[in-house]
Amino acid sequence: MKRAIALVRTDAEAVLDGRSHLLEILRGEHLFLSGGTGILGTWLLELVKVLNESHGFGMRVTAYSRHARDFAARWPHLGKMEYFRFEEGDIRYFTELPSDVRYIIHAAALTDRRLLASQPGAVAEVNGVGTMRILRAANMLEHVQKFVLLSSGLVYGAQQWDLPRVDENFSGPLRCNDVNAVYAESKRFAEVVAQSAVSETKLPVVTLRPFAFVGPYQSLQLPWAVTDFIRDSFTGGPIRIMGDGATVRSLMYASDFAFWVLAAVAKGQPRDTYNIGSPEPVDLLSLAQMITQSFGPVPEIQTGLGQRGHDRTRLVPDIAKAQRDMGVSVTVPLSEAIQRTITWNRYLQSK
Amino acid sequence: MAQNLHITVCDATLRDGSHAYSHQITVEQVTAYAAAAELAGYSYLEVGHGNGLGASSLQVGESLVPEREMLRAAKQCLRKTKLSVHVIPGFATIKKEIVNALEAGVDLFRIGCHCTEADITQRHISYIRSAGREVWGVLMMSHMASASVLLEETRKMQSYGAQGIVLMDSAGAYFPKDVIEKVGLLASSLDIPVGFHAHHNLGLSIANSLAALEAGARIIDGTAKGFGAGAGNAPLEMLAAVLQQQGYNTSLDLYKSLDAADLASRLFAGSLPDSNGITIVSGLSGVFSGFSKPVQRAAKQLGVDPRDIFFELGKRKVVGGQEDLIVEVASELANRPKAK
Repeated sequence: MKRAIALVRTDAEAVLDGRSHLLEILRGEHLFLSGGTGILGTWLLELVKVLNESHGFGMRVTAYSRHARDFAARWPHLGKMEYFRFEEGDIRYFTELPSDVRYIIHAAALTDRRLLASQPGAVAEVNGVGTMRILRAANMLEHVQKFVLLSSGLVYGAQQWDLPRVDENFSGPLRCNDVNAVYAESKRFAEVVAQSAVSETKLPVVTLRPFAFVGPYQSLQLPWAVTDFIRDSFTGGPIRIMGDGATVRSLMYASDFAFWVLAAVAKGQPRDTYNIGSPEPVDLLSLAQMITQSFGPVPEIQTGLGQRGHDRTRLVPDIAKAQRDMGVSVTVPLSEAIQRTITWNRYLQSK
Repeated sequence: MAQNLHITVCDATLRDGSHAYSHQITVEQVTAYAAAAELAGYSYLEVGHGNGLGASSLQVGESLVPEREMLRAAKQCLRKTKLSVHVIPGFATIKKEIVNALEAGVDLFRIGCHCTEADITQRHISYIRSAGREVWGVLMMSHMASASVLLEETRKMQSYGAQGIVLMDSAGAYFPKDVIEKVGLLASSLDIPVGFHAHHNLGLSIANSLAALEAGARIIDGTAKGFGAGAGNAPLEMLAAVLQQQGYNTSLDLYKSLDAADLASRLFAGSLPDSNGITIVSGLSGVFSGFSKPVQRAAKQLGVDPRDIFFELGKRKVVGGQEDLIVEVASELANRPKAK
């Protein structure tokens, strides 16, 4: 456990090294973070810890989550910090923000693909109603400087195969009468109610659209391609790819992801929307090969196991706008991101 | 036509056949048959109680041999053929039966539920994926739901992590046009391979299996000599012949498949399925084939026509696991005033 925590600390220090000046405006601030115990929330806490301990930022964070107490007990290196307060609750019933909060990150959402199929109504409620509730609470505060909404890269709908990257103006097809669109539609709804708050009350909303990411604190039980590949490699394989492995994604390392979100809090332009993710495309077969090379014996990769004709999609962001407005960059290349994630899980499993 | 695609052939003889054998299959029978299945080249051999892991009980019948013993015996005989089990959440618990089966070396878990209740499979599917084993979703009694409902339910299973889907015609009630509609929709909409598990109540098991393959299925189930619940399943030896004749790409050895069927004839003599009035009525009424034996027992005990029991159960849309309703229905029929 100690080695796993130390690895994250090293990565948090590395991403802030030479870049903490971008976050100067957050010195001494009280940040409110909904969804504070997911992978993003955890990494944000790790970064704030380094900002406070190594850069004297003196920030406080209230982390709001359904699992706040369990989280604080499981990760005492974060849970016991006096400048972190953990508040347990359900965002659907959220009512009030601490009065001295000026910066808000709304990351609470149901994102687990298994829930999207089984409880689509709950997904719509948490992601839609939850956003409305926290926007209402934010509007009650006097001095909100920034409200950062975590949306999703999935709001774009299907990316054309021959389009290398999608920028913030892209709009692909989404079938709103298909239950499988519930996550993307709930995020679109969250975005539009946030823009309504901008229009009605001038709430300074910055919208972020994250793409795929990978890193420590990401549960390997989640049914995403990268988590599937790593988990199956840990159990000896095989890695089973339904299509031919040509589907294209990009993966951003968690430390970059968290830093970009903090940078959006500090530097993002209200009313604007930014992609967050890696612009480096990787097809699933190459990703699987990259992962399996870290294991011995190298697990087998099987392809073409699924039905024909449903195996090629592409989702890669254009991040020029975020780079320009917020001064951010990708600091951890994919191969290193994968390696760090595997090492962290090895440490965690060895306890 | 999909003849150039590889078709996965699953042998359910030692699981579905358990229904036909009142769950009294011995270790010796498991060992002998598993060796034959391996030679025949079946992709998977499913072993266990007819209702799957953990189902041995007074309600649905007790197994002669503990499932762990059966699984270990089968596993020792298999090299290329993988060992699979049928799992119905409720009968099988994660901590007991599934952990035991993982330790026994089961390669594939087929998590089944009634065709409209995929939600109950989430924890089991997720657990098995996290253990690094292969897991499929199985919708039983799939004749009872429309194609669009089946697609909704199978999409749930896919999202939970299922790596294959099998539609079971548990009552042997499908006609080829139903198969084409339902399997066709799933095959064209899901990312994971789709399969079909036929029963022979209306004499259509091979025709329905072929229809499934033509509609895009890549997994097909069968049993040696059709050894299975009710009127039995699609006979594997016939499937092997038909698949070869139609040019489908499989790992089967036809002669060895025929040999395995001959062996099953000897091993399970006297219990091989026989099409009769009861099984036909089971198919017509859309009632689970595995109900045949308990229905006949209740009919004899209470002096009613078993065919009437089936039709009444069909009106009530009973599903597997509701065996206790058989006696209730039989009692009601026995107490019903006779028409003069």
